[in-house]
Amino acid sequence: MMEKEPGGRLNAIYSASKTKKMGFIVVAMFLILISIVVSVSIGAVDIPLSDTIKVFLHSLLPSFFDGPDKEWYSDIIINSRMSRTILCVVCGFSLAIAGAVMQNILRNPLVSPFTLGLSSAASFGAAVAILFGAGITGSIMILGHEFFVKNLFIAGLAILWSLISVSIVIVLSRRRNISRSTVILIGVIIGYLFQAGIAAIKYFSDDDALREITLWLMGGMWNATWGVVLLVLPVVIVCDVLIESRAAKVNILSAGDDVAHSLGINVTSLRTTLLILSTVISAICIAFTGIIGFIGLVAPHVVRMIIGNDSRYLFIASGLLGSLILVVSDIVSRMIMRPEELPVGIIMYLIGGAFFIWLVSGNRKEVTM
Amino acid sequence: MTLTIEGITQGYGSNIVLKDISFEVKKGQIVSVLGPNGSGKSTLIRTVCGMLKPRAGTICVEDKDLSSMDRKDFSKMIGYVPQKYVPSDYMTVFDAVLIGRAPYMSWSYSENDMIAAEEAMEKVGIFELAERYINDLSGGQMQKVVLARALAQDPQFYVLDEPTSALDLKNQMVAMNTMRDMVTDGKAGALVALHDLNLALHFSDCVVMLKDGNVYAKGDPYDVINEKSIRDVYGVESEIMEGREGRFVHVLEKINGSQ
Repeated sequence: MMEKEPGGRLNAIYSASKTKKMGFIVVAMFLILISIVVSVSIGAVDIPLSDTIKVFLHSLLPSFFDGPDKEWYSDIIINSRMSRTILCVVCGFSLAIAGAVMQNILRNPLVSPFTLGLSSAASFGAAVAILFGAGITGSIMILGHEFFVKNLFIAGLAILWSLISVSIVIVLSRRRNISRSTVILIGVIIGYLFQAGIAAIKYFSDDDALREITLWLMGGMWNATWGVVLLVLPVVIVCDVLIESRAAKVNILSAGDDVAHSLGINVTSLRTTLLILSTVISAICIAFTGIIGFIGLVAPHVVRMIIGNDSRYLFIASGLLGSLILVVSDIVSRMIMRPEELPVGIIMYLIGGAFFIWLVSGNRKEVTM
Repeated sequence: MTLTIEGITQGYGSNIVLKDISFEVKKGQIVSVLGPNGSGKSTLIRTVCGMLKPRAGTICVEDKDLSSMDRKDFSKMIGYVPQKYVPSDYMTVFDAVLIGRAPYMSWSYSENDMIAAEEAMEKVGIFELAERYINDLSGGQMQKVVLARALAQDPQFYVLDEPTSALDLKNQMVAMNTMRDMVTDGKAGALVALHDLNLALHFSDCVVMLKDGNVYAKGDPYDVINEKSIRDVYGVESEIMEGREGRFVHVLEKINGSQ
């Protein structure tokens, strides 16, 4: 009542909520930085925190800071652990933002790259590559980095089949203007069809291929190299910018397709574009890591509870929380059975499962979108 | 400024739902579309809002055909208010009202957007709820959020699809009075699909009565809504009575044809 200026009272409320959202983003970034430092410090050789920080400072500003006393610490951190940790950051971000986008364009809190058949399609592609690529050996250089041809073959087929599956979903649901329930239903059905394909491939695989397929389906960061990071990162950045530039329009979709239409939104084209972008962004990541579930489901959920459902902030914040979750899970997966490591996918399923049990228990309000 | 609906024919597949519908809505007017379930009210509303392309006929404001307008201009011209709002999780009231500013914004909101949204929320009396999540609200409060969003959109014509059907008596009056407010002084015009004949009698400047996709009658509500038209269109017997604030419809127990 104190503000007399028109729009002033709402402006105050709006600014306060914006500060809260930005605060969440800043805190999440800070926690990611800490988790990165921890992640590169631990492993078969534990590197003291002070030395880890020296490695970072020395590589950023070599003339001002000295490196660690043991020079091979730099080698371990920069050449082996850092690429893996950065890949965790990128993949966690991508999978979480893809989940947030899919949930908000389809207005369903249980949708993720996995419920829409995408992961099944990627797995099918990878399984095909593993089965038929058993004889492929050797490596090639891309962007100055060495890649195993077989890994590229697996990643390529995983991406290809993800794109094929989302195309099928889009083509089939176009007849009904890409209505929300049609997309979800078709996605789920496509997922089952690809599951059948995976089962068939497993049945015809020999023991080696079967083990490789199974490991791929669990998801892990074994293949992380700077080369992979350099391949994935540009795609992720471009898709993220395109997604974020449409975030205000996604907010309008929350009023329902009809209202969004009357507010000037081309609902069909917006939904199609964002489905494709979120597919690409998650497919390129799981192509190199295998199936890492639940991040796309858990991260947006938590963020929504804390900062609300404004897509402009939700997408970025979910991405950051996804990065944090994956880096921490990766640390856990390396710590739990040292020096052996557990596939990070298993840790994710445990965290995800526990989270949803917590979500549906107690008297929290019904989840609706 | 006048919204002119001219010779609209509409249908789904081989089923023709609207046949050659013509009428107009002037600024300052509330025009009600009446008719039983399945008479084509919602189809007419959706056609006027551009969600369905008419099979024949035109919808114009002044001499401008709405179908040739670009999306943003269209959304500054026509504001749609749905029958029911299905809210998203964790959406605050102020976020939902600000959505109405979509035709004017790109990525962030301007000062004008804030002013328009604040005024809209105050007009329907929900400013105190600004920071609440919508799905914690009652049905009546939610409908007010929808009305506030439409006000924030500030279109030339409001098109409302049975905005009162989910509301209790008091909230029905609030919604209709808000609509009255929307059009006073010729700020805008309103086209509203209604079930309640008494609300139509009380609030409309003009009514269009649909029967099986045809215009059965149109004009002044006192001329159109009478015992004969109610019998022909709705199939019930009624009595038009005179109250303190004007006429009202009393529906009788016996159903047409079964007396």
